[in-house]
Amino acid sequence: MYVAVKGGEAAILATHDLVAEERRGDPAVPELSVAQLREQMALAVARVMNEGSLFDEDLAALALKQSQGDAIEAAFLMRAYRTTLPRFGSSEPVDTAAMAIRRRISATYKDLPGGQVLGPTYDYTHRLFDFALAAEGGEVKIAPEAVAPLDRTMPRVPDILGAEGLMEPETPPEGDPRPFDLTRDPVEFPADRDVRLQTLARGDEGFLLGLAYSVQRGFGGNHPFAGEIRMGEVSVGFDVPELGFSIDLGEITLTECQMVNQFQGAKDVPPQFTRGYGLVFGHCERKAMSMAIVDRALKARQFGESADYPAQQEEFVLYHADNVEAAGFVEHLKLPHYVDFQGELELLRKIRREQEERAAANREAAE
Amino acid sequence: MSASSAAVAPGFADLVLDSQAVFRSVLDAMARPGTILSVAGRVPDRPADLPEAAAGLLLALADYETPVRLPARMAGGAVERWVVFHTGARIAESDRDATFALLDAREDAALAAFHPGEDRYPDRSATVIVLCDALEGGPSMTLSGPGIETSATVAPAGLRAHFHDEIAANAERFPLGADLVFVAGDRLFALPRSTRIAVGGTR
Amino acid sequence: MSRADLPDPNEVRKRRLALLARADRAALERVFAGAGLPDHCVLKAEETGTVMVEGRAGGAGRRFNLGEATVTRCVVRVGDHMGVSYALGRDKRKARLVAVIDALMQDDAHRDALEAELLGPLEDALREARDRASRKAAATKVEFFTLVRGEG
Repeated sequence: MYVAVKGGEAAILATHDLVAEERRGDPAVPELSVAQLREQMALAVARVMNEGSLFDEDLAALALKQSQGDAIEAAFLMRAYRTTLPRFGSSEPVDTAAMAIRRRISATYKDLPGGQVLGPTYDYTHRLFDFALAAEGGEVKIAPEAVAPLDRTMPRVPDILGAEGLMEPETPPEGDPRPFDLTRDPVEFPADRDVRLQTLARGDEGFLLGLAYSVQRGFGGNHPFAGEIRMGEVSVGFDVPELGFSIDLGEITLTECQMVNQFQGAKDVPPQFTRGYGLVFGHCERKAMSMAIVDRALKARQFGESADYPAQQEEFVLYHADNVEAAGFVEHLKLPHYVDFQGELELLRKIRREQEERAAANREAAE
Repeated sequence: MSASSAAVAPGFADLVLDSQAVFRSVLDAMARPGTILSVAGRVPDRPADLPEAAAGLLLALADYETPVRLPARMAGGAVERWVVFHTGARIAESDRDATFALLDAREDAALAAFHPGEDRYPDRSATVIVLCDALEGGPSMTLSGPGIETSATVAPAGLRAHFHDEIAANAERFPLGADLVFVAGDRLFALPRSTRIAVGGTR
Repeated sequence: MSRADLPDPNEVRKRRLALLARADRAALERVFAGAGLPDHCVLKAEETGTVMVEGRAGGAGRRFNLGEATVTRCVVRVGDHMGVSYALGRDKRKARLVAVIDALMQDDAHRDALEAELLGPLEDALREARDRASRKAAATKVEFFTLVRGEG
């Protein structure tokens, strides 16, 4: 337990000034603008939006600037700001089938309606430094354009398998209920899929990546295929109370991943493929894939699989995925624990004193 | 749609300051049960049959996640349109469903019908806003409990028969029970469920 | 979204608000560059809040909360018409401008001029930008050839 202490106000204020100076770095180097971060650090911006659980590219860019690029500190700023805003309501569920696609690949089907679209990916780069980027003022690269645009909509890959009955069906429960919201109500176990997906969507990318990796390496029973990954822009529909009908608020960038997993079947379920689902803000592919693998691992209970591994244990995964919470608890150890520690110190001294006294008494008895 | 909606009266003139001021008032009212406070001037434009204090409370507290219950006489009328327009709240399907309930003091609706909260989450209870003729001049109730140094007396006017007994019964359910705010015109006082109530006070 | 006359009044409003939500503030300011904003009554002052964005498990299944997005809204009255703005982002000035334009476009006296001056060009520019992005993505479309792999 930590205790409140008084004093140190001047020192704390001085840390604010010092951190501001450190943040700016060498004043001879031009200052970054928020717009520069938004445009040129878009993948970092996406990560901050996901873990901050708030889609706003400018705010995420500001958060990165203010936190000197510390992604978790930036997510914390987003979460704190969010709590100051009123919520107008919930959107209609986004329709990823209607996504304006900029990337869409499948590792399960070579030829699929709409085609494989590599889009802006680092997958086929050589991971060699481009030292030309170190020199500023390079030419602005314009990507080539095909003669024809992509198909307006493309079917989601699991839906193709679903049509054959080989895929675990994915339909809304009776009545299409409003989803649980962990920002309003405490999480309880066993947790339903909506609780799990919301937790994973705002969870730490590194934590989910590690869990997903553990599943692949055998600490989990699944063998995932990337059925489909798609990235692009999706409209957000919102039922406006003043109008009495739904309007389109604009577009957000989303990355969606559908993992396809083998499943042997059970007493009442024929052998089929099962799904893992990942959906995230911005272009954030590694996170979407990790989320999809962990989502499938957390279905262990549903499929009667033994939940022997960390990635399959929902209490473990859901309680530890949030990096703002995790950072808070780990870092609170920096706060004064003087009274606690004094107690421990006293106890330790007492035990040692008693031990020495016993030893002395034993020696006397022996003599 | 647009013609009728264009007739909706404005809400708070200054969204931030007015809503904070009303919120502060109801916070103080809950902290000092029985103390009468005023929100005069916070909601100058509002439907004619909605007292200013009730209008302010709904604007400051209700939102799309808090179903609002209105007396039957207001259903489908200007008050309902105004509340839905400004707060985004939906109209409660039943008394039990309401997070905020506007209740006519003479209305034949049992106080026990409103949500008393759950054992694990007593905070999920309803807040009932009672529309009275006046906050003074009626039969008195003697109050004691948290926020009251010794005792306090309130005497809202125009309450239907047995309502006082139901208020006392509501307090007996603590930590469950509804929280009550009595309003008349621009004034209000609160009776949170933690307040002990003796009907027919000494005065 | 077609510029052809649409029969359902909600569809007209939906198309208009979708286009305005995507507009740059500068383009909206230009509409009022000469005379300034017309007289209007603010029914709901500009306010920034959030909307919880929902997804569906697997794209089509159970609803879940993905995360929030910032949204700014404003509701005004111009003459007899209520103008509404709800759009992603935190631009309060834009919200006011959109709400006023939405109200003006319910008025026969302004509709055609604003359609020609603002909505038509906005729709064209959006279509063009979408088409360009799609054709750039299409330039990265591949045909994979499966090679026979050795046993192992």
